[in-house]
Amino acid sequence: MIRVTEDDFSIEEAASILRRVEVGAIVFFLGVVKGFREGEAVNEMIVEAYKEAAEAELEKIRREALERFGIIDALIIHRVGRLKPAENIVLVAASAGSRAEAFKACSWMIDEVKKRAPIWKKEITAKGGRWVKETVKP
Amino acid sequence: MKVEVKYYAWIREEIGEKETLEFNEGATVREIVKKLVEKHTHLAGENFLIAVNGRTVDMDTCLNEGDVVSVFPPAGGG
Repeated sequence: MIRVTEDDFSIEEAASILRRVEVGAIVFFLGVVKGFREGEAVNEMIVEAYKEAAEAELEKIRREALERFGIIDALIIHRVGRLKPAENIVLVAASAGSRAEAFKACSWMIDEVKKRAPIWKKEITAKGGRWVKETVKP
Repeated sequence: MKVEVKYYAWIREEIGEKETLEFNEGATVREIVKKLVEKHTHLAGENFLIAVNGRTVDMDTCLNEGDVVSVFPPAGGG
């Protein structure tokens, strides 16, 4: 399941989508708005997407993860709009027979989302706004 | 032919949400990029991507009347 949405999401709902009898592990990555960057308070984050292309790219990443890691299922939900510190931004989840594949797939998917999905973040601080130039790091 | 060009993120803030530009029939993406950089000089030297009708394309792709070209920065979400 792929979703680019203004609405918040529920980890429990995501778990219920992935929970099946053959699944032994579900690994989640939850990205939240960080309230500080380089010592400066971030008051708000604006997340913008080129929605059609972002949804297509997220689905491509999901399908690649299924093939590459042999996992059972995966989902990616990315929020857009104006978000406050500590609010949810992105949820990536992978379900598999055992945890090793699920961990690897989840880690790979969030790196690919950051590298490939046409989604951008603008942090609003007391000094104004700045677009985040993302680099993939843990 | 007329082509609608849409902008995203910091590029949208600099140029605006969208504009309609006139190109010769059969113009390629390369020619469109050249014209965009000539018109909006702050795009020169910047790293941006192009999609046509929602799909990423190579520079030799020819455009047709009514196509929608999207201009956007590299990914920065997650």
